[in-house]
Amino acid sequence: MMSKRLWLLPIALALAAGGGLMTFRYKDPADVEPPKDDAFSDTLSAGDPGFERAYRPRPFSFPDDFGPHERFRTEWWYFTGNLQTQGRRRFGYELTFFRFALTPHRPASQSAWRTNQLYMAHFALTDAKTGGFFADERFSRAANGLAGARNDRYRVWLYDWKAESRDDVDFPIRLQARSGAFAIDLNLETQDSPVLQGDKGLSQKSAEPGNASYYYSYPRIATNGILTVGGKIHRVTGESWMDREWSTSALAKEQAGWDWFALQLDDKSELMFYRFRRKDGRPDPNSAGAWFLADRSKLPLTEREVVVEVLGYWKSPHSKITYPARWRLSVPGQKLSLEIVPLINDQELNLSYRYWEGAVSVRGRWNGKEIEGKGYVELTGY
Amino acid sequence: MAGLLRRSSRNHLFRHPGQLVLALLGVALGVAVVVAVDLALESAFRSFALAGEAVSGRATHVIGEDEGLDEQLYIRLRVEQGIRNMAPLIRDDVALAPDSDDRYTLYGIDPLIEKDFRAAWQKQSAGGDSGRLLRKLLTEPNGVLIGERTARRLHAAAGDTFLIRTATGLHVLTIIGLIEASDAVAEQLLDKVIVADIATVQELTGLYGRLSRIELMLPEGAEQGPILEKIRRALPENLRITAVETQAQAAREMTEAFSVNLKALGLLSLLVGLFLIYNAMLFLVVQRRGLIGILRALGVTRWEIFGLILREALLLAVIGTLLGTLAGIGIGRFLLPSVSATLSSVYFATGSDTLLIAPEQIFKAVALGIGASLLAVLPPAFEATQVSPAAALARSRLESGSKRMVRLGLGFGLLLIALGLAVIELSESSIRFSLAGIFLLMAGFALLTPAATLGLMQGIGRLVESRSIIGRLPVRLISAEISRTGIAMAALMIAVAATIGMDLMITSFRQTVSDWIRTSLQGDLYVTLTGNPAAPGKAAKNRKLKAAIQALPGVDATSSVLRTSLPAPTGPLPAAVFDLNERSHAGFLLLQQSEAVWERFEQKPTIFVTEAFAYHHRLKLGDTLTLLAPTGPAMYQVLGIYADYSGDRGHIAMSRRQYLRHWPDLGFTGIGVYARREAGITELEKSIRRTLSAGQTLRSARAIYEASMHVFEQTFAITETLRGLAAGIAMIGVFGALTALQLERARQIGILRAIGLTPAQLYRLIATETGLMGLCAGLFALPVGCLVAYELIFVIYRRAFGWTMAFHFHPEMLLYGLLLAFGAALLAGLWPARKMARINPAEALRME
Repeated sequence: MMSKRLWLLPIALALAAGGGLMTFRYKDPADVEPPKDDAFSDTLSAGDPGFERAYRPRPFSFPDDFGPHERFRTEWWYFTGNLQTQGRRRFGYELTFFRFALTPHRPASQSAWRTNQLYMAHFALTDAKTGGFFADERFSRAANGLAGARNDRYRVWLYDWKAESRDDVDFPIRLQARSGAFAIDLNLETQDSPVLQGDKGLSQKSAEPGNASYYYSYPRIATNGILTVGGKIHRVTGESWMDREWSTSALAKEQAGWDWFALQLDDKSELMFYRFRRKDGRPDPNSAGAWFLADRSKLPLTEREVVVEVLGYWKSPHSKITYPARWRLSVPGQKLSLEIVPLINDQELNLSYRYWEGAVSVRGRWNGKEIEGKGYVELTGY
Repeated sequence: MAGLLRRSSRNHLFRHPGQLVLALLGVALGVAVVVAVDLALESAFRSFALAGEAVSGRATHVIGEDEGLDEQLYIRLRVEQGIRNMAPLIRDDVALAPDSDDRYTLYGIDPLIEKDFRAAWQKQSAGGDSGRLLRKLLTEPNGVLIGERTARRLHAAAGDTFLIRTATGLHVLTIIGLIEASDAVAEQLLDKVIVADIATVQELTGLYGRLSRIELMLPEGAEQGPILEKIRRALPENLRITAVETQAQAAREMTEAFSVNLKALGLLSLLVGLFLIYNAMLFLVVQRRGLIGILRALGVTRWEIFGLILREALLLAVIGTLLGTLAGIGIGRFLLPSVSATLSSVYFATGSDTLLIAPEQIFKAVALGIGASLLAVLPPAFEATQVSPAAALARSRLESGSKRMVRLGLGFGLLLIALGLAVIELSESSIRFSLAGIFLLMAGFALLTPAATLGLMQGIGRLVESRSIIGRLPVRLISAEISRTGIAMAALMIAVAATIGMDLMITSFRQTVSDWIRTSLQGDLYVTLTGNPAAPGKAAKNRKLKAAIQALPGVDATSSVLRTSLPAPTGPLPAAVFDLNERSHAGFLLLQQSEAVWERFEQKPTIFVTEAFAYHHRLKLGDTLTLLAPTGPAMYQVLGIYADYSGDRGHIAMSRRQYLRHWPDLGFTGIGVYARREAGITELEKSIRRTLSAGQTLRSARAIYEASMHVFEQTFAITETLRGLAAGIAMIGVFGALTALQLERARQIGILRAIGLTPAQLYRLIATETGLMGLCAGLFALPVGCLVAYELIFVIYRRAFGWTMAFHFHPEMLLYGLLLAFGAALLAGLWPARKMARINPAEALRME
């Protein structure tokens, strides 16, 4: 008979049965509340001169600029939107794809898994009626078809979460994400061209040259589709906002975080403003934004032109972090004053990277006339 | 009055401190042996189960067979089907280069899978610097993680490099970080493991496009069904998804079978313990008969005395049980390393050296100690309190009463034996019931012991009729005091019978396995090939190697085997695929076979199955077995059933020609080399070694035989230890019983001395008596031991493993058993004999 390991066979069998099952997993009872994993922010901390940076404005060309810019370190495809059912039940959603380059250049390998590009996606749903908020995340490398983005047509995906042009190269775009009993399947349609943020699309984040991003937006996209909350399906319509931004920038040392406002007003104008918060509490001159008027003209906003007052706070029961939860954003030069109120307070994404991002209602006055709106606010670094 | 009673009782105990100590010793030892064996076994098994849990981690299901799978399946499941909580995994055996035989396992993982499903070490490694670690894992060329123990082994730290050899050649690996194991089990599991990103592992091994398997963590309950269905629909035909429990179940069944031995010993210890306790407590009452008679004569009521005895017995039982439990824990701690070592050597590392004490085990010990004590005390206490005070004072009454008990024991013993045999016969494949049957059988024989002793003594009595009184006296003494001698002998008998039974069983097993290995190894040299069977070009390389070996001068023929698994409707079945030559046919010990077996084995869709496989799958010669070939179900006729002791689950044997008709060539896991008669094996070994590369080892048939027998001995080492322990404790118990017996008959001895027996004669008298008791117990143990061996070999082992063993009878074993019993009893009788012989007759008479 053949080369038998005889009595050694039970060992081999046991190893095949046991060793077969990933030998280094074990339950850790102390692991109830996992420590915050800074994996993604940490991967970005190392400065590398090989990355491209945004120094000066550049022309945008499509569909190329729908796709990834892998020589830049960070990039995102950011969808947020306020939706409602026929019965006027309000929902908010966020679906974001982040791209991170670990190194400036894609390494060569015969392995389809080898890459320097990582993707992270966040999916969140806000249910204004029940006060429910749901958020989940995904990670993957951009290799072997697991995740990635294309530059021949609009398509960005991570596993089965995706934002993808339905048939043409751009709109209509279909957004799909599902996590357990929560899901969206939305159709986004617009005839508009993108608006360029900052200086012709160059958005300076600090005084340092190159610490800037390329940034364009579709600030108002008609949206309809299906939204599943807790297993219940709702047919919804509303408006979404899409941001595309890529950079090799990081927060400057003195910057603690930012508050970002993306507001869709009912006079068909949209206002975007990001406010950097400095660790010393002083105003940061790099805060900026723009007001895109109904006639599509752009009104750039600087830090000195915009006043943001915090009217109320909310302390997260999950993280015990206190976030501002009500603002008055005014542009005195334009006689614009808006009061911004979250749909619900608890829209904190307790994910690997924790932040607050939520649907808001807007009500105020412009030139003495009442004005209303909806939007999304993002709070980081709290 | 009650206080006075208690005082009288206490005074009696204090006046006989020897007996008090012996009673406590008896209870304590009985409890200790049970607790020790129980705890050691349970701890070993429990930590084994814990290790099993750690191994399977959080995965609930696994996709993937031996040959691995196409990585695109994973992508499809993730992207198209949206299946969550999946981990792609690639593993390969690598050698620590340059020319070490030291094997390491290389795992390729995706560190970016769902956090809930990620290995714990990923979260806690590198002191929270997991981002940096992740970045390095993905970007550092040949960057790997190793466990701390592996690092010590390599004398390396983070940042160092080391060399490995894979199928694609030599590679320098950089240690980018150390994995911290949170406990001993994890540390053990991480030993000799190298972890890297999946891309790195593919680059190192050349397994591009392949995965070894996909692990999944599916939700429990109602949600699982639809997901499972979705996955099943997406799987190609040759792959299936298996629940981890099914895999763990297989491992558990293996250890279950192994544990049969140890459980049998646990039962034996329980039996011995019971008898020891019974013996100790019985003495307590029997000695008190005089006192009871006096108390009764003084007007104390029966129930007062009955209560007194019970209270006292309870007190002693509680103290004895407490001491016994503590001693048992101590002995268990001492036993555990060898129990775990056996489990580790045969199955896999358990890394257990802490005794796990469960409340139910302690409860068992307490119930045993106190229950058996009360049970032992009740009948004599009842008897002593029921008779008239005068009768209680007379010993003869007790002994004639115990003659009745002996007859009762005989009847009850026969009943238990019949019941035991019936239980074994009817228990079918339940090992637990079979063992319970053995327990009943032995208990039955133990009850027979006093009757058998009486019979034997009558015989011997007749033989020594003509001899002097000194010659007749020991025989008469044993018969006359059967109430005490009988129980000590029963305990001794059981210990010896179990020793004989286990010895016979192990020897038979060893002989059978040794014969089988010798027959199986028809070749002269064997090459073992490891590595991932899915590696590209492995099959071709293996075939080339076989051809190269075949072409060497001095090689007469070669054969090959591929150990793999073949899909069947019930799940994958272990299989060995053989390419045989004329000479290798003789290596199969076909227990049952059909006509023209070898030709049909090659040409027709037929298989051989091992005996264990046939047993577990209820297959007979001529039955058909369905396997799931890629083209659809295929039927295979069972052409022969052959002996194989290499595993307790068994496997299928199929010819390579038949295998290749349906399944892809995965190369070989072994090549057998048959030398020409005139060829020098050493020369041949050298020239074959030159053709081998990393991961291929060459061993001679002789070396394999020796290694196999070494593992066999390791497996049974613990059995020996436990048996020794049980026998040892039985000896101490017998010693205690005999000592108590001698101490108790001080008055008798006083009389004997008074009527003129010299101390030397007395010494001889007692020594003869105890020696005779030992001999009796030994004689009786012989048939009982053989019967136990028979049941173990032909019933229990067959049920546990599906193996048939030849019964190898060793006369010297019986002699050894006899000597053991005789020696132990004689030794136990020496000290009391000396003490009694020295006693002053007047003093001895006064003592009563």
